[in-house]
Amino acid sequence: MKQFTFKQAKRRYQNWFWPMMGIYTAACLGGAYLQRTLETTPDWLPLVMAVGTTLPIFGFLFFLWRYVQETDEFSRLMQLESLAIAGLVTVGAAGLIGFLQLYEAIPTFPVFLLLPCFFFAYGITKAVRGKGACV
Amino acid sequence: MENRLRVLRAEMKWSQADLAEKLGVSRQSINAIETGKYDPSLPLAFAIARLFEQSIEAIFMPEEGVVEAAE
Repeated sequence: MKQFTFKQAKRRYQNWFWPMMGIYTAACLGGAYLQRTLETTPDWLPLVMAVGTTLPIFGFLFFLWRYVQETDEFSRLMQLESLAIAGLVTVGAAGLIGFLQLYEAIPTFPVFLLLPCFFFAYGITKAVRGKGACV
Repeated sequence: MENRLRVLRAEMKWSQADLAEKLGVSRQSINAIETGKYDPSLPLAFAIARLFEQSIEAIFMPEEGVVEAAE
């Protein structure tokens, strides 16, 4: 695999991060707009809207993984720890919410909210770990 | 593991960012190594040693217990 310096890896990541976030935001807003304005929707439209909104997320995750592979070893460790902790928190939260729903303690929970939950936990963990290791 | 990275860097009048740039790593990596919060891999330790034209042992010193255990 080609070797990149930290700066190169970071630039390659950021070159794709912002376009992916832009497409994701546009897809979310576009989907919400279509849902409100269209009175009758063809059967295929919800599927296209759902997949169209999810594709940039997969794109973002791919470029995040590529960054993890290309960045320097210390940054890689920080990234992997943050991703692991965020994954554990999200899985734990999903389990708790699932059982709360099963025992009818809470109404139906929109599953897609687990995605921002994961990225929120990832961001917080990365900030806390980065501060502890680098200041 | 203890190291003399901060001293060597100061002798060269390099900032952490300067050293990070020369090694192709992040400034945070240099900070973490200097403060003993992160031990570099062998390839990075060799790169640091080569940059300062010293042996790895002259820059990185294992803790006493580790040496005794190896003996």
